[in-house]
Amino acid sequence: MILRMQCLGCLKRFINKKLIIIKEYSMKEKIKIMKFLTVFIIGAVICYGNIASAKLPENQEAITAGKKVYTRHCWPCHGVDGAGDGPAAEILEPRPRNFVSALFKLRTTTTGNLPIDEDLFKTITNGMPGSAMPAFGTLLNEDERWQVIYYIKTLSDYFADKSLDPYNSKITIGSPPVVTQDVIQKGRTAYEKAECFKCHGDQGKGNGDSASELTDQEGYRLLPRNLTKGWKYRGGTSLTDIYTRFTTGMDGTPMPSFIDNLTDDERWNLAAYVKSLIKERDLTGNMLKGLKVEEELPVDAESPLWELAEALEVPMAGQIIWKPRWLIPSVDTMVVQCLFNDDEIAFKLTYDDRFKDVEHDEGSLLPISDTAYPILQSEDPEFDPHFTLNEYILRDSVAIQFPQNPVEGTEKPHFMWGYGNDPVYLLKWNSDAQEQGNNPVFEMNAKGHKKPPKEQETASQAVGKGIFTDGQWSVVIKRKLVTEEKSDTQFSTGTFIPVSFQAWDGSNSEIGSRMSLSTWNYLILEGTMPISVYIYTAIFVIAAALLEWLFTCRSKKSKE
Amino acid sequence: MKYKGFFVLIITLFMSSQLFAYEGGDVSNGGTVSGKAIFKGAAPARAAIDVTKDKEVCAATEHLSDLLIVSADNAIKNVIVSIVDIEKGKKIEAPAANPELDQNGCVFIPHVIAITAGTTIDILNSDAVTHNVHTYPEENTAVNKAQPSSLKRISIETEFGEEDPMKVACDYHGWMSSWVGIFEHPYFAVTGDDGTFTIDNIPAGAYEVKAWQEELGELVKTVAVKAGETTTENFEFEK
Repeated sequence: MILRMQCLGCLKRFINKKLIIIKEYSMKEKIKIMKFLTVFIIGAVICYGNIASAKLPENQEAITAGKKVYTRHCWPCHGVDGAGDGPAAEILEPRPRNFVSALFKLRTTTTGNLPIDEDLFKTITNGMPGSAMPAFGTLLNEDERWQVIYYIKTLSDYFADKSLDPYNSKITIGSPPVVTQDVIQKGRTAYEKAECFKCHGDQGKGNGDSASELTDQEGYRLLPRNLTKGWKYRGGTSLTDIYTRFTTGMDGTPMPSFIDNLTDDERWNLAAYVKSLIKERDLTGNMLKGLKVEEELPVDAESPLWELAEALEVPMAGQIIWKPRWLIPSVDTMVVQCLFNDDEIAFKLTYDDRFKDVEHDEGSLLPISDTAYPILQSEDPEFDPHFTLNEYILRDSVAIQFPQNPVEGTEKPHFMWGYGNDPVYLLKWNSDAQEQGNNPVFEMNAKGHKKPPKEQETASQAVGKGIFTDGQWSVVIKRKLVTEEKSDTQFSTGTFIPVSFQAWDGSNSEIGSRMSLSTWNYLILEGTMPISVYIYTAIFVIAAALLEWLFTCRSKKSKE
Repeated sequence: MKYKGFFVLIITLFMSSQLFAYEGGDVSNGGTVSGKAIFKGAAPARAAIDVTKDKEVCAATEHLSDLLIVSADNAIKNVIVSIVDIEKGKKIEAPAANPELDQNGCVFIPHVIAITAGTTIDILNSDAVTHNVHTYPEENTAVNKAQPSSLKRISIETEFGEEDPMKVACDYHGWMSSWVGIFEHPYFAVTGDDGTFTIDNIPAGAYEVKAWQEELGELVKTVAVKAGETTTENFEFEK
């Protein structure tokens, strides 16, 4: 969401610039430009969809051209020499591929072998979802992708060794089975037989016994995939993709090859089971509708009342607006619900978190006046952002954020802790406080990112409770609708109240501004929409139509 | 001219492979290097392995850490001693059977072995749990294969010598590791409980002898081998 906002900013600037240029063109030229753009966009779409393609011949010319592509797009992460040590590598997890050691995750060749060119082509085209590797299918044309592959192959001696020709070690991939409940059930049996749960957890949440100890070939932390998050499958989510991953193993990672100990059928069944674990996410909504109930509001996340409340799925991203930025956030999606009655309001936040971190000791590594704002990297030369150091232990927390004062129109405080004159109010739940038997919900206020949210001086009137089950937190936070405290947000029915969410995963070294956060969504307490919404919408639609009509008329005139 | 860089690379590769190729034959009146790996300072105690997973199998018998084994009289076990890049000498004899690394009670037994390149290693699983055999070579092919208890034996082929021993580990059980020294010549030894080693039948000459231990690093000494004589050379390691 944040990324999208930043992109939009870029786009705006771009359009503004372009428009100035366009103004100097005649209408005819403008139409030409539009035509070109249309063809370009359609072309790009076709390119994107069309992956299988004619292969460019591998020759010196292509390699030279590939080096240019590499210099333009690849080295900041993968390094000038391809050793996976570019300047951006330090802040990425997983680390960028080291082309020199030539261990590749996504292959259709048996374990220990190089990938075939088509494997690399697929990776470059589709990117690696959930990692920093973008899909270059939209950025590079096919020839450029082949060229850069041929160049990458020159970075390692292994590709030059003819005895290691990967085309000799290709696996044969049959056709996927028709997925039925029976196939999925058999896949579950294979999941247990192959002991996938040791890393991926019983329900595939990536929280198995070994999950916290795994590293890549070079010793950097690597977490097993949370198999319910299809949007993070590095090599795609088709049955064939999944089947291929455990047939070949993912070299350079702890993920082994199962080709020798699961039969072909078992691996297809397993693929069907793993695919069945994927939860689709719907990120289209931004309206959290509170449900009015007569009962007393539950603090228990397992209360059946929650089943009645509508759920909003909120995308979360790493905080990259202000330093210290956070590029490897743990929580990437959160499901939120809201219940209210005449007196109180309660929120339930549900999200996946591999490890339950309920202890908190910031230790000596955080020499910061306000505890929530560490500058870890600059203070400690030994600091490795990929690991929680032993010197400190950090807790899991979540926060719900509202504008402190009623909003007028579309003006809202900044979603990263507000502005100086436009403060925010936060309800923050801390797992360590709960563990110690204290009230885990804190009422806080913030006036901008420079100072972390400050706890209110009066004792917190909000309560709450978190339950951790199998790699998932369900946290309920409850408060009075209306309070006497001036710096509290007051909840009333029939108005849109901006609401956003923040999460910190302790074992992912998250604290202060190193967190996941969402942009503003809207909370509405009432089943019905206020009439003003319909009226405003109608006015805007009509105004837009009018403007368009005027513009069309004028352009027709100028054409004549 | 476009291909100049490529040719240079090929020629360099060709030459370097020639440079290290080992030539085996009969050695008459060869010399011997023997000695002991010694720990300087108080012998550290071996900590018990903290078994965090599959306890019913892995913690059935208590295992002590194999990372550094020092006897009461300061002898270090599992040190790989080898002559560096020796080019000519005794014949390489293929082992009668493939050397084995047995995963037994969630440790590798033995913990350290040394072989000549081309030897196939058999990795056994004697446990009632799944392991994954994950190798970390520089020159040879890296392998990562799941090995459930039903798959008793996985064979791993080697092709090239390795400058440093190759680690073999199991990711499921993070404490499990073993090391395989892989050489393109037959002049190497692994110290036993008493810390001693003997490398024999070496053509007379000056050689670099390297001793490697996983925790303590490596020591290299220049040793003059005399025909028909035994040269004693001890390696004193410090932490």
